[in-house]
Amino acid sequence: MFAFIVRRIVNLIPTFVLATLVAWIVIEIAPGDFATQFAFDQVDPNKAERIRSVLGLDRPWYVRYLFWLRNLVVEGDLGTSLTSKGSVTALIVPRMTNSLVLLLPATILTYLIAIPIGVYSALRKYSLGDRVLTVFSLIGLAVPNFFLALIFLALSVQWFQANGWFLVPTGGMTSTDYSDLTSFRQLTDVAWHMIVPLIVVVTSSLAFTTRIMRGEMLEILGQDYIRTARAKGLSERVVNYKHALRNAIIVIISTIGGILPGLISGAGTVEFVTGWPGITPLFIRSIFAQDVYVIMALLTILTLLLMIGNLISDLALALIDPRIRY
Amino acid sequence: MHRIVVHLFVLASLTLAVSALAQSYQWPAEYAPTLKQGGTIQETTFGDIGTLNPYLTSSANETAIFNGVAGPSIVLRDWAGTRSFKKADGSFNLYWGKEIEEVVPEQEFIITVREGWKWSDGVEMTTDDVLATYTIVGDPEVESNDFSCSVVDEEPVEVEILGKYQYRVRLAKPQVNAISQNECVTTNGLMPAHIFMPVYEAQGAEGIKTMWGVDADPSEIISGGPYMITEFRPGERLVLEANPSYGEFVQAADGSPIPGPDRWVVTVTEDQNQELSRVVTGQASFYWPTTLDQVRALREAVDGGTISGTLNANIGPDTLVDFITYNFNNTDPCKQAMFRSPTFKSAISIMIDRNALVQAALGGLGFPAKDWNNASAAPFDAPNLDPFDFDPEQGVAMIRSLGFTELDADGVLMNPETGCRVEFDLQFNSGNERRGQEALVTSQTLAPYGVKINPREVSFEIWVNSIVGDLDFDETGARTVDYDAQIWGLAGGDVDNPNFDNGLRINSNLNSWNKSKSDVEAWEILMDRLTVKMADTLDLQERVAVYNERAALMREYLPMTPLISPAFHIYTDLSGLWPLEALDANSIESPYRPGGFREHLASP
Repeated sequence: MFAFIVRRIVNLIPTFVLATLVAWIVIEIAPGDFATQFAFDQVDPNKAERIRSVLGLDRPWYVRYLFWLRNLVVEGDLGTSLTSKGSVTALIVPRMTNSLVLLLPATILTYLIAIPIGVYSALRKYSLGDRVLTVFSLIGLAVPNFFLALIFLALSVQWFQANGWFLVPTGGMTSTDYSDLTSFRQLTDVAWHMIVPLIVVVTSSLAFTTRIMRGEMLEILGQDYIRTARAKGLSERVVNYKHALRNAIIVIISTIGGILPGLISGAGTVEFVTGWPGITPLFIRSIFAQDVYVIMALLTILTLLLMIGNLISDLALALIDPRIRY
Repeated sequence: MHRIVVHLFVLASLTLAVSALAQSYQWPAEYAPTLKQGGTIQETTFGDIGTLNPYLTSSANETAIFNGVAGPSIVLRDWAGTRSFKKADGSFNLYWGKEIEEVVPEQEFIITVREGWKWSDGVEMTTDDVLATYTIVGDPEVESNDFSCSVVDEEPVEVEILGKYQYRVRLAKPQVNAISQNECVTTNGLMPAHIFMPVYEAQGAEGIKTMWGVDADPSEIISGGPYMITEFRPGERLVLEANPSYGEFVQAADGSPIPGPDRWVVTVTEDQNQELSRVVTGQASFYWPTTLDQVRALREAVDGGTISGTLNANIGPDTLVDFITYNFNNTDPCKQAMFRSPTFKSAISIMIDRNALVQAALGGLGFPAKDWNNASAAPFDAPNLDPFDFDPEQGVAMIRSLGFTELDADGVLMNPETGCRVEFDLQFNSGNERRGQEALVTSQTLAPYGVKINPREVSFEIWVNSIVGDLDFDETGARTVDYDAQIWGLAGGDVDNPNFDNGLRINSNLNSWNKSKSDVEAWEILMDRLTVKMADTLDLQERVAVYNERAALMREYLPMTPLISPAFHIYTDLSGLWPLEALDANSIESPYRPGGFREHLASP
């Protein structure tokens, strides 16, 4: 096992370099650069060229990539944002933290709800409960996050206009008087603001995980060794939860690799519509502005976390599934 | 105990005495007659705040906010009056400036500033701050957005310190409203020299770039304006509180200290629905809606009593004007001949129903355009031009006069001798629904008359390359993008001299119709000369006359075919706003500047 871990960690190095190189090339392939947006300056026609020169954007792409890689590896420096001219790290860390604050409870909640629902649906296949949950799951899958968030936004506004007070906030992560609140009130304030984005995120991911869990349980329950277990006279509880669930959950564990980067990669459009100050808006804006160092910083961190997540996932599988040995 | 009281009394007396020594400024009654003190103002800003350094930002939103924090300007633009830095009698509208001697008209000034004005840390503002600002802004490595202000014709603006409160500014050559050059460098942020210069001298431009980033402690940020930054939550909120020392040297007309409100909360939004939801639930003190849906939602909220402010819709045109330009360098000889023909362009122009464009693209909240500037740029709004006619029959007759006398099998006008058809693509930048509607309605309006226009949505990059670049175009090949025609627009140009030097001159970067240096018509040469003449004409009335002459020339030859302007609207629940007649899209673009209304707003 130890040799496996060392081997995997060593393998991460070329994978990481290759991943960042490909990401850099993809960004470079996009037409134009950061300075292009200044081409329309009516007062200063040379602005775009001057910015291009000052920022070194007129150098070959591979030279800039090598500089960036050297700074990252040697100094741990993610670079300087072309837009804000400040440290990329200072720019992204608070926003990633905000995304984590939303997505960690959302992820935990998703698994806490989805796994029992998936098991229930599988054990009571085609029952009324299964059909109702299936319908809700399909709605959760079909309705885009941003649309669900917009509905909540509209309801929040309607409620305020009808009653003069907010049932749930129209957006944001904290109230304007947040810094004047006690620690406990700050906690409840964030929780209150989290209600809508949490419901939206959980609803969409719940559907997917529930369907996976249900399908996997159904497949396992049809296996010969489950029939054997029943033939041995084991109770239904033991058959379902010790033999079937333990095997069915392997597929969920194999997705852990994607959870780690998913926790900080933002909640997508939900963050836009609910005003949650996560990483997604910064990422999207950086793409539009072609702020290459912010984009690369995010991709780098996500790549790293994905690789670590996959390693953890593999190790967890070995612990759960006795057939897997490294 | 008695001693302490005496000491405190002496200290307070000294403070009052120092304050009294400050050469304060009192706003004229039309700007700030009285100010209600206290309270909180809330606003939303679209897009995140990427830096807390007023001197580095290139974002208009950030600049607007940070102008309440950066140091004062020398003079004010009188938006409620002359719209200039000068009064009607020719004297300057002084602010921090105490006296300005115009040594060489519109080229050299000796500026004396008021004494006793202080940064929020108690250090006095002096000409050291002016010199620091010029030095740092003028270093291109700093990447200040105001760098272009520190040079004239690529020559740096010369600054000479004559004393603690006096300095000389000299430009390379006289230019229109020359004091604005000084304003441009200092207004966007007179820098506290005692904070910035030690860093600049030790670490150069890189040191400046590391200052006051988003991870800075707000308490370390020095303010020279009416507000101080007290809290920043990335991606979420910026909180400003009144700078108590500011009111010591700047007061409203009734003598009350400025600013009136204690607190100003700026909430960051990244989504228009999110922003609107805040406004219609009373979480924003003012807001500029831009679409019909936004205006409608606000009207419902106001009429329903949910929010208590006033919505003033359709006050006038926004600074933006959309127009069509045609590619004179098109490689298709048929199209090139059409696009270079003034008759053809005039025909297309009068076949466009601009009122229909306003209805379709703006839901009726807009104005037909007659020039590339509009009323918000007055007096540079071409009063000598009539609105465009809408006369498609006349337009068809004009096209037929060019030899396009027959309809082909597709119902498109064609020239039987050359085989050329009246068909071209009309491109617009992807995602711009307004321009998409303009292209679509234009296409649908002209189709029954045998003019085939194909609306074409293109990527931002193609759209940009159709306008800029190609400065080394040599006639033998195609341009970077061999486009036919495209819709684009301009907004927010120079209010003193909208000569549009880098667009209307031959082979300039924003001249999107003809990139050739040699294959130009006589009218293009004349337009080029009038543009240069505008820049050299120092007298306002004469400059307006040159503008009008050029506007008439452009109407005849139509290098740009003006289409429409969106309307400008404002909602606010605050008092202290300018009179409605003084509000227009140009003045409101500077709401936070001294001379704008951030200082003057009273709390709700």
